[in-house]
Amino acid sequence: MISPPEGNHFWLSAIFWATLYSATPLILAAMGGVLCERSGVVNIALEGMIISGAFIGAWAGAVNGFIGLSAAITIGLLLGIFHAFLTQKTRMDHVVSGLGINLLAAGATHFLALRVFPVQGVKLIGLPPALFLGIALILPPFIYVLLKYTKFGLQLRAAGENPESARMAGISILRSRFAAVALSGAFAAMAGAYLSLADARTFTSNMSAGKGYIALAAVIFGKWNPLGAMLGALFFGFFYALQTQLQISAVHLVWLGIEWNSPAILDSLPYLMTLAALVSVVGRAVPPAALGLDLEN
Amino acid sequence: MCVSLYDGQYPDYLDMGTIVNGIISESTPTNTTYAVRMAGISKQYPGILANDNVNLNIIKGTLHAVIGENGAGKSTLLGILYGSTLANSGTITINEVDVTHQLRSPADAIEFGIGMVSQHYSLIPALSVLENCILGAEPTFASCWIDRKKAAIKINRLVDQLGLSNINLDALARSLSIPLQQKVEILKSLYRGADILLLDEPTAALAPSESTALFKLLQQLVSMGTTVVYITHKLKEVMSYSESITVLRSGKSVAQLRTENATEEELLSHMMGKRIQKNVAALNRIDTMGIKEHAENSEIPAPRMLLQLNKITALNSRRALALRGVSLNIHKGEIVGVAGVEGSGQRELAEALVGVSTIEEGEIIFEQIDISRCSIQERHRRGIAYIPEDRNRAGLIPSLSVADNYLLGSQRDSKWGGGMFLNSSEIMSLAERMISACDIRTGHGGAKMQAGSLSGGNQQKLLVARALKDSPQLVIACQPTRGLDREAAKLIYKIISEAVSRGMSVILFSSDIDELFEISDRILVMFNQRIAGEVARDNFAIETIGALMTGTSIQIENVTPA
Repeated sequence: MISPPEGNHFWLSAIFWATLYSATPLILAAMGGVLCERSGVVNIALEGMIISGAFIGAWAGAVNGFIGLSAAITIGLLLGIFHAFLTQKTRMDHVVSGLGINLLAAGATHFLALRVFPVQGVKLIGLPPALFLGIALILPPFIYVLLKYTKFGLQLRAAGENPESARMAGISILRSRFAAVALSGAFAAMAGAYLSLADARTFTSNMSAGKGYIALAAVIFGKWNPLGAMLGALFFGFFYALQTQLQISAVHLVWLGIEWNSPAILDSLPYLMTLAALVSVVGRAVPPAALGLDLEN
Repeated sequence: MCVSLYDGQYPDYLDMGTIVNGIISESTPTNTTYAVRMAGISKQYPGILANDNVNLNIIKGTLHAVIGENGAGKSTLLGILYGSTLANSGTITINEVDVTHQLRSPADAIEFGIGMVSQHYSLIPALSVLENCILGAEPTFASCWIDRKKAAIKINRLVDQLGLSNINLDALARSLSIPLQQKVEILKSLYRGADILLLDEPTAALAPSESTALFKLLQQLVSMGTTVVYITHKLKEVMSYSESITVLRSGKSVAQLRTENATEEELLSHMMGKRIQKNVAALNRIDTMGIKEHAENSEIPAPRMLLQLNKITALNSRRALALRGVSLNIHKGEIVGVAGVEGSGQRELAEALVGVSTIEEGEIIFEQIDISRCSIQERHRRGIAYIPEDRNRAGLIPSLSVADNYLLGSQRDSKWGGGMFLNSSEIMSLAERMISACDIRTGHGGAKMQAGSLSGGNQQKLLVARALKDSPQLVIACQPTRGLDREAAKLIYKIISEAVSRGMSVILFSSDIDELFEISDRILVMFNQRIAGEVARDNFAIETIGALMTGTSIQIENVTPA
């Protein structure tokens, strides 16, 4: 994945690059989360959008990596519009809709993968990971500017803070929210395409492994600010990287009769850190005022 | 300022038997243009006919007041004009153009030059002043990027025209004071090119001096050609500032008149209708019997001590000191008012008494027992009832029925079932009795109506009735008549004073000094998280209370220092 530089700093350098690449899908999905939640729509469907993007990316990517990426983005947009439709048009609870999409995506991709991919798994030529890393590093400042300095961004924030006031000011809440949720689907699916097309170069069921939820945690950690969310994603990415490096290294940490660097414990490190980070930040983080709320009538 | 006369077209309310002095004989000026004409407006909500064939005519460039009691349909009417509520029938004409079918949303109303400053301000706290102003009408370049410079120039020009100062366009709306928020709301409407400005109860949250400033601003707007319509139930504001008045009563427009031809008594009679004869008599009776007689009662020597606070200190939710050693005594059967500038510790004192917040030091002796560590439920059981300040958030659960709300707090009582199930038929019949006793207008649904569907005054009556339900010894009443018209307020006083005459005590937290003067036996004034002083009924004077409220350290007579 990365060309290991020579010298004494090999380990640090490896962790540095592994952090960036582990954070790439988290940043992409977190940007989707920021857009969606700033518009007032709770999006726990990020997880389902990631796995769907990963699947479609791998499927269409058998032909050509860019076709795979485009197909992933398309399925992300569609799932986003579906989530927006359920929450905004049918007034379904945002968490229920998100949960439904996650279950549907997990089941459908598993089922379809067994049928469309050969038993020994797909082998993809895929896309260079650096492409996704580049996007992940450019996207946060771009979204920051979009939210702060554009008409689209202002209306989106208004929809997420006080839809009633926004409506009174003549803004179409539906338009803002549909656009935001569709874009969030596209970004999350892009994160999925990274997993299958650039990182693993194959598709396996459940390869998203909770990255959607961790991206959401990064959004909260970053207080719904795109740059903060990127920092959050890098923070969690660091623990992914650390965990991988510790598993590779032959060190044995035994304390209280437990082997602390056993894979089972190390695997849970990023998730434990997510929990710890959220506990420390969540009391102080103020979500968009109308997050999860609808217009009355 | 253009002083226009009505053109004599007053067809509908005449047959309702309310002939208004001066209107019929008015001469008919030829070129009067109407900014707004609404005719035959009806709006049916489930169970309540909010507007019933209402007419509203507003001459261009005038200051027009829409008055009426709580629940008379004023807000609904303006909501229809602003497109946020759709009428079931009727026609709307803006600047002499029929727009009945075009006016379907606030966006349409903005298009027609209508701006609205709603009762609960619509600024978005997390956005800056500039962002709030331009929201939905953003100047852009490349139709995407917000042109902040252009927006700032336009807003600053309006600020200069109105003679407003010290508005920082980059400040977040949440950091502004209430009067300033209101000015920004007006700016926001004008920014969108509004020449008809609607204000719903603009002075409800303002201090008297701030209200005066607001009306000066509105008059200035009118002199610049804007048409201003405001809802109020404060007759003084109507008489001092408006040019013409529409009176609504029970969803109907019952009178439309010019302010110079109106008297307060006349307006009152229009607002209250036929009930006035009976009610005025009833109100007088309350004044003389309920309150004054009670005041005499309390002069009986050696009243029994009910509640004693000894050096209470408490922290607020931000862990800052909210009460610094508050001591006070409440006797049986007395009404003790608590005055103070908002944020002087009144809310924290009320919450410490009710048990919502925990106190750091000191003791609360209620009937010889220290209850400072008791739970809310325990204090309620011992006879402390609470009328919270914010009826929508801390008071009622809007989506539950009137009966359920009425029960709330005594659901554990064996009277209502006690075990696992509630005795709903018993609760229902009790709630129905309470509804008729307190004259709560619920529409045809009775006690089954959602509490949220009642008007503010009726919700407040429900809260008071609930607090008094189990015959408490002490009621902590916070702003019990805020936002209510005079008649609704009187009814609340009546309900309370009846309970007081049976020996109950009341601690009345109010920002309305007149209210405190009217019904308190003595007034405690809070300043800087302490009780600054106490004034007995014989010495009530606005100057004394005002000096204590602002912490003026002059030698005040007739004050018992705390």
